Amino acid sequence: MIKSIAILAILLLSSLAAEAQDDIRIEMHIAPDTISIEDQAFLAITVTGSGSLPDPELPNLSMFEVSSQGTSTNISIVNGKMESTYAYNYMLFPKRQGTFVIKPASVVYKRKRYETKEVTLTVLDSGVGTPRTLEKAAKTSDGETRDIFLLAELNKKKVYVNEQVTLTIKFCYAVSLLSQPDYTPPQTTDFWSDAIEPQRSYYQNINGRRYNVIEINTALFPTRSGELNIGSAMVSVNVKARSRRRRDPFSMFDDFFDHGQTKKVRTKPLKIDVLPLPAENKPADYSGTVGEFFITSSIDKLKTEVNQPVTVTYKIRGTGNIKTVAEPEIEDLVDFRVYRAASSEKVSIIDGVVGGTKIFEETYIPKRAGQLAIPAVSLNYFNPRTGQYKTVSTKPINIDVAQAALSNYANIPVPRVAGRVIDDKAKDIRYIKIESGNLSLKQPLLITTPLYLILNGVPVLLFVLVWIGQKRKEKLSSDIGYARSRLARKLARKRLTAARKLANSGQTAKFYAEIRFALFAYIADKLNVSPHGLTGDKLLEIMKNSDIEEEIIGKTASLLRQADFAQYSSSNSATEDVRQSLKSAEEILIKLEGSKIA
Amino acid sequence: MRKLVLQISAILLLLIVSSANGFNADSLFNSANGYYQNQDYDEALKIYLEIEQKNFESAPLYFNIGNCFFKKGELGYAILYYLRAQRLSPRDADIETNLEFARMFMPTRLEGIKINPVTAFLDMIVDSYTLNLIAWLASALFILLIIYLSVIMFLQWRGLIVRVSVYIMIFLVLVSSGLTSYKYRTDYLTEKGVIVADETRILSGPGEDNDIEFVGVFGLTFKIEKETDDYYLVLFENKRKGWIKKGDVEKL
Repeated sequence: MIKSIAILAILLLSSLAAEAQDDIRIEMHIAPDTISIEDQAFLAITVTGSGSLPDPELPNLSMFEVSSQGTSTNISIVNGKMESTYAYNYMLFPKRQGTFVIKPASVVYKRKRYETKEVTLTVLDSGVGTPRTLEKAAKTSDGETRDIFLLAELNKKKVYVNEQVTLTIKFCYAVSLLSQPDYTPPQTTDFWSDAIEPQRSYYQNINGRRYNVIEINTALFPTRSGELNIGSAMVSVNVKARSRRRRDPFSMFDDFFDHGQTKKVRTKPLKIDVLPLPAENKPADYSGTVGEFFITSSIDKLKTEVNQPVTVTYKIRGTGNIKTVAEPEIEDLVDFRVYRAASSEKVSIIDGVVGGTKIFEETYIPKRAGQLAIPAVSLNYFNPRTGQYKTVSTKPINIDVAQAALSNYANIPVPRVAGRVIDDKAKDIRYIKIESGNLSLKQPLLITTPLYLILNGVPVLLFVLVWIGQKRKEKLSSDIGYARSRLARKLARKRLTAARKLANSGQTAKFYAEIRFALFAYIADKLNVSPHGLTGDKLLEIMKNSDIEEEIIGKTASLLRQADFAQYSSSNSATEDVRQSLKSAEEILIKLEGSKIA
Repeated sequence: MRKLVLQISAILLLLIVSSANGFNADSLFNSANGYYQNQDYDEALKIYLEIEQKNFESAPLYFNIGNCFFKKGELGYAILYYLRAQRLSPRDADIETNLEFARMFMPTRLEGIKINPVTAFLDMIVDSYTLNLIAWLASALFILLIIYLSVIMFLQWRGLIVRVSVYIMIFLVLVSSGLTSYKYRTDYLTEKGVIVADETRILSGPGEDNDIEFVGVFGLTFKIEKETDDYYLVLFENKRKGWIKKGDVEKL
């Protein structure tokens, strides 16, 4: 019970602090926080805000000698908002040993008092107040002191993933610098990093020597578990060379001509043990947020009408890596359509601890009239301090939704596309397709492929062939002369074959008759006349007129004579003669085939 | 003969090699569906886009990509992908519904669209079918006509019915091939695009220093007439013209 009250109180306080930071902010730092009696500490009070800022009221510093170091101003414009920071700097010289609590500094702004935290300064006996790490780093291996060195330290040895660890790099020098130090930050590959401004500079006695110290702080958030490395940081600077102290009259110009020597100092690489987030008690919807956060909500109006949106603003505030805080998912509801309207974040670093605010707006559009509840939104985070997961949530918001007045329907945007009406009941887009639907490599368009051309070309070709065939058929059937001429050769061959058969069977007379008829019929067919009207002389005359070689005509004449002779002599010719006649008949027909018969 | 065997074996080898690459679009598609189911829209989208990048396509792929973009609130891209899906599957009611749903969120619409009755009529016919389907239809009708003519010629058919049927078929072939070329011209030869940026300025010339003609919002579609290195000259449906930055739009 007491614990929960305490937590409530902390939340309340931090919410107040966070409210306050919106207008004006005052902070007080001291560095270093432990010094020896002969050292001095550096106290800075910064007032940040917009507009004209009041001067701070200083705490009681009577236990120190105080020397003002002046003020510095810094103006920045963030998101179009101008913010100025006034830093009031003081050097504190201790008068005696002891632990001194410096009470809060404060400002009064718009009738409200804003206070810093109190800070503590411990003053030790001479030579005691220096951290041992610095003393060690200031010495070389053979015990001499270094003029200039660089030291890196982590404030924690073990952290959880995404928990802040602060890397402090101290650049210490006891000689005058001839150039601006050139700083190379360490490699922090496995971390998110945020610079903690401003750099601090102060004096510190180390091993009895007075050093200037420039301190650079960086907040690191490990992105994975395991032993992670932080690389070396490096500073390169020109320092005055250690002079050999020659006593010559021109030594006064040494300073003038001394360009010094370039010195490079670097830190040792560091290792840090990063613990994974415990699996135990991990909420199912945990999204990796680490730190300490709380969430609040506010609504722009509590009364609305159907289809008229209300906006709920959610604020997540706290310490931790605010950039990685996942905004809670808000599902579509039965009574509302929900849309993410805007989201923004602001990182702020207070006393070296990174935190900030994440704001996001959701638009709720009521679907029906009545008393409707916008449900609570919750956020899970892992608190590295307690090692526990925690869930914080907003309160549900009840709103009154009235039935929309009739005229309001006219204002609902209706798609102005002709002939298309959207189903009134459509609440959301339709769900994705489960079937991949013939996923295939992109095909070129059908009509640009050669296949398409061939597909359409082949029937055309076929058609042309049919057409030519048809034309021939037509000519054969309508023009007898053409038909006879086309068939002449075929018939002549048939007759010769028949003649050969007759010759083989020894029917010489019939053989010659057939040969004779074959010749006559061929010429007659070619000329489209009756073969019976032809005589031997007529045939020879036709052949002569048709430019046929003399030799063939001679052969024809002798063949015809032989045929006449064989036909009318009725004596069997010698088989040799028969074969010879058949051969010359074939020869004549071949020749006739090759020439035009007129 | 030997050459042919060689060619066939080369093609087979190619097929084996390409399947051995192990890119299984269907199983990737299913895993992306799983992420979508679990409302991990970023991961689902990543996988769907990977499939698309390997040159695969299908209407459901584009549709699902559109849904992912919608869930992420990138409505310009959602509309782009719904339109791409619609080109592959024009009569799908889901695509139509989601496209119109996404368009409801467009803050403005084009005013003063004049509808040309002829193109509107043609669009009405061809919008419901893919180009390939119309092209197949035209081709089939053409082949049928040729075969029919061949048969008529071969069998010496005569008569009024034959003649009328030939005229009807010629008419059908002309209409279908005309629609094919119309669809090809309007959907493929003319390049189209969609505004994917939430808002973009339509300028009077290609360059930032020109006057603003008007402001376009995501989801508006246009024809691309010309282009320079950084700008397109575009024509909106209401015949307004202007130059638009290439980075704010995507080609369909």
